[in-house]
Amino acid sequence: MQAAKDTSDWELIQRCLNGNSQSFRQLYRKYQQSVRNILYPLCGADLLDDLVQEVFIRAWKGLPRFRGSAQFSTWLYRICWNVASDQRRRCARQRSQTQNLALRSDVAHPGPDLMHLHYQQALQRGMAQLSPEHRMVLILHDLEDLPQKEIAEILRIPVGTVKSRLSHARATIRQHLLQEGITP
Amino acid sequence: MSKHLNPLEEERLRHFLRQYRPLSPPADSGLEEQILQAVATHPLHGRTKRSWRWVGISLLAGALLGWVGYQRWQVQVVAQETEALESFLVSTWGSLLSPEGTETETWWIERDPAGS
Repeated sequence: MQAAKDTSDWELIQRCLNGNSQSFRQLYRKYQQSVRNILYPLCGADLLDDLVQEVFIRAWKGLPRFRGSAQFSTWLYRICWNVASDQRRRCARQRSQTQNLALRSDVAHPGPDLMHLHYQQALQRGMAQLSPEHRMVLILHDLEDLPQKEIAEILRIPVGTVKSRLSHARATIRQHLLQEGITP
Repeated sequence: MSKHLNPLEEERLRHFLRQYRPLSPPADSGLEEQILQAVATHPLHGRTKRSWRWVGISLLAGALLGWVGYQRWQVQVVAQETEALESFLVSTWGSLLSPEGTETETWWIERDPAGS
């Protein structure tokens, strides 16, 4: 299953390199939701579309340098991290806005009921307390279900560091939820 | 604060995270076309550039090998010519200075019928 997926990605990349930009549409459709899911908790909703666009344009421009030694998704998520880091540096002064992410986004996308909404907001506030490095590990591992080894490749850090960041992030989130009266 | 969770707590937290994860807002309806248009304005030349680079490297390597080969051949030819010249000189001077050579050159003095 995984190998078939990778072969397909590789074929699409080869077609892109041969000048078929429509194959890039397939890659976009395949990965755009994952890219959004990673970027949103890191950067918020305001510039999400712009950042998604930046990720895919960087990926397109970088395709000739993609050697296939890692999976395409690993390479793409690395670009996500770079784009998010660049954005964070550009907008360091807007940190407080990111922390208020929950209120703004949930007005636009209310949950099915009030309790669900309350839990979502509490979780978003908890995630906002994490550093971007810890948040990224938590997103990739617990939300996107990537293995620790792949996360280590994406972030170019040792697997041991992934484990420790994950452990710290989980403990921080849980502590925050407990403080808000929620027992996960 | 950073107390490690036990496996059960971890599993419960993971389940909670997945259930109440931040939902990213849907993409703008025109985003896909916008990205494809932006991509179309940046044609990929990587492969062509790469192949031309390899052609250049091959030509350069060929030229370098040819030059090295020519230099070695030239050194060999010069060495052979030098050796031939040396042996020619040795044989020529040897024959001139040898007793036989002297005798050969002075036979007319020693065997002059008028002087004997």
